[in-house]
Amino acid sequence: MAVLEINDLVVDFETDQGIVQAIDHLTLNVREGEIVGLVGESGCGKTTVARCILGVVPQPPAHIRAGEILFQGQDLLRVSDADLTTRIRGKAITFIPQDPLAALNPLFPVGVQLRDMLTWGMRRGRRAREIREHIISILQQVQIPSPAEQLGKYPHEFSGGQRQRLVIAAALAPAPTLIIADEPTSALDVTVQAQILLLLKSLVQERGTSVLLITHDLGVVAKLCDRVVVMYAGQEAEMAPTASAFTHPSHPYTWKLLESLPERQQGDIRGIPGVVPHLIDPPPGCRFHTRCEFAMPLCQQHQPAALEVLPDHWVRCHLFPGEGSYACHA
Amino acid sequence: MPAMLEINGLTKHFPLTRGFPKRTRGWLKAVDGVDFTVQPGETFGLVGESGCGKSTLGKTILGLYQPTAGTVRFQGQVISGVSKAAARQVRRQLQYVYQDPGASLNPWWTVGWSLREPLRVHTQLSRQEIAERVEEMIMAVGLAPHHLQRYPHEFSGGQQRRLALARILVLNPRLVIFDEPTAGLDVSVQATILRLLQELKERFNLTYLFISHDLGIVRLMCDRVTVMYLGHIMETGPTEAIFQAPAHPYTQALLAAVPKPEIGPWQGTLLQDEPPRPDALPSGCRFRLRCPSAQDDPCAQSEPTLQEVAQGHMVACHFAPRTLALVPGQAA
Repeated sequence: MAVLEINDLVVDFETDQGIVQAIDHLTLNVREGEIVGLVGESGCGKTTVARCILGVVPQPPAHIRAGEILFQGQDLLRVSDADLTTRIRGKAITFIPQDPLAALNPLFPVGVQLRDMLTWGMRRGRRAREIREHIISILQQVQIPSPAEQLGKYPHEFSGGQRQRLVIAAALAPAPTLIIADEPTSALDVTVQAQILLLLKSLVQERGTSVLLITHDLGVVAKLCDRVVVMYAGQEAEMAPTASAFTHPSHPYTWKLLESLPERQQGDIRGIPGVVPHLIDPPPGCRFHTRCEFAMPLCQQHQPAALEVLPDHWVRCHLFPGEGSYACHA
Repeated sequence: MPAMLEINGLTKHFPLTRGFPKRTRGWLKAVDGVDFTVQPGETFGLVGESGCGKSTLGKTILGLYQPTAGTVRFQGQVISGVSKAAARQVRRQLQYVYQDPGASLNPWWTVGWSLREPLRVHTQLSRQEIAERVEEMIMAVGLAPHHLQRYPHEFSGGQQRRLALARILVLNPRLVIFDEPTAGLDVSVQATILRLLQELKERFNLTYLFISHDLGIVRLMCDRVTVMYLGHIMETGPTEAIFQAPAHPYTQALLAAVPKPEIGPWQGTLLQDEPPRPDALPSGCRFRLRCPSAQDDPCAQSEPTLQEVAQGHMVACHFAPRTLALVPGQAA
């Protein structure tokens, strides 16, 4: 069963230059106990998706025009603010930020911050000692040495890797159903990154927590994710099990992205010609047609619908004509 | 023919001061006795994690920092610790591309002005000749002459890299030092920039020194690689030797930690913990606290020196020949 289901989400931003069509009919889902990678280049809308799920997109300038975000069957776009704060945000859905130093308050000891994050919006009643013990056990699980002594320390006293462990602990503490991780290790060195990612994977698998992992690193996706959603210019280009996406990339954008990786270069170095389109005036039809070597006249006229080309492997591209789609936009 | 760049025992220590009046409480050994040689026409890679001293090394070579000890020779001529006037002559031929090229372009100047500036400083060319040279170079990096009237903010990250390249190429350098040449770029743009770098190298007969933490890029671009850890060279050798048969436990761990875009779990031993602070190094080998094969004797007793394990392949590990024997053609 899908824990999270985003259907036909449309989000615009009003700017001085015009209306930016940041998310255009995006559909994706995250199933129970699954790690789903959301990849794409900068500016493709990955972070906007995360913010919409958490209900922290400022409106205005943003406008959610259409679509639904179903979390355990409940539409988050129609949930009251009170419900969102007390039950969902930071409780059932938690967030691991990219930069833990910016996420932690420099003026308070980490123990106080972890406690406040955990008890926010909760009725009083749980005893302080119980909460303290819970926090210590979580810190132990993220492998922070002698956690009881660390509670009184301030964020700057921890190393980069330990700070990342702290925010992972904060995200795990309320026993969430879904964790959204926005580039959780992009600021870390590779040797530390590997430790943190393996730790995160083992912790969420143990608990059966679902994760939506936002990243631009296809290596991280290959190592960590069960499924992957490749985004381009505010739309999902391909949604597939990771193994299937790496062995049978079907959208030209996914092919090209994989081909651009230094590890996969052969002969002359190849990238993707052209630039990501400006979303104030996106190209008509398929948004990738301006950079696609297989573009046909059809691509400029109609947006392709999603099609299941392999088991559970969905692609939005006119190269795969046929019925059986979950979304179709003329 | 003299080496393009020859570095001998280069050391840069920064004082750690505290209180008033300032007292030196210790030394941060950012670069600690580094030797290497870059031959004309090659691409030389310098890799390591943050804090290993690779950027300090780059800046010391350029003369932005005075070395604590050791010498830098450029085309056979000592350039470290010489007068500013003498250094100026050399700087034309020795150029440095910063990590964030957007920040190194003046936002108030048109791009054309920024590109003409080095020629005004370093040459006596006429206005007409300067304009021609700048136009030639902006085309060489894949932009058009009309871009010269624009301001830096009007360019994308990839285009700003191209501008930074054009700006150093106008001076016709011999050696270019790149500090994280593609940091912050998306993979598709990164590939086009790397390709441009290869083309320019051939066309203008350049020598590159690549400073990067991205092992994928280094493997793709470099002829030889040097791996640094906390200011020391751990291993150096031909790229394929380093990636196919890494002999130092640190190099092995570094290669194992990279998440490769292939399905399947991480291969090999992953390191625990984080590097120690560079102002509080352990005794003996500076990697021993994280090293899977460290022993009290000799690792804690003496610091290993670089020894040759194969043609041009040097390793600073007490167990170097043995560890090499343990990795028969490890997949990199």
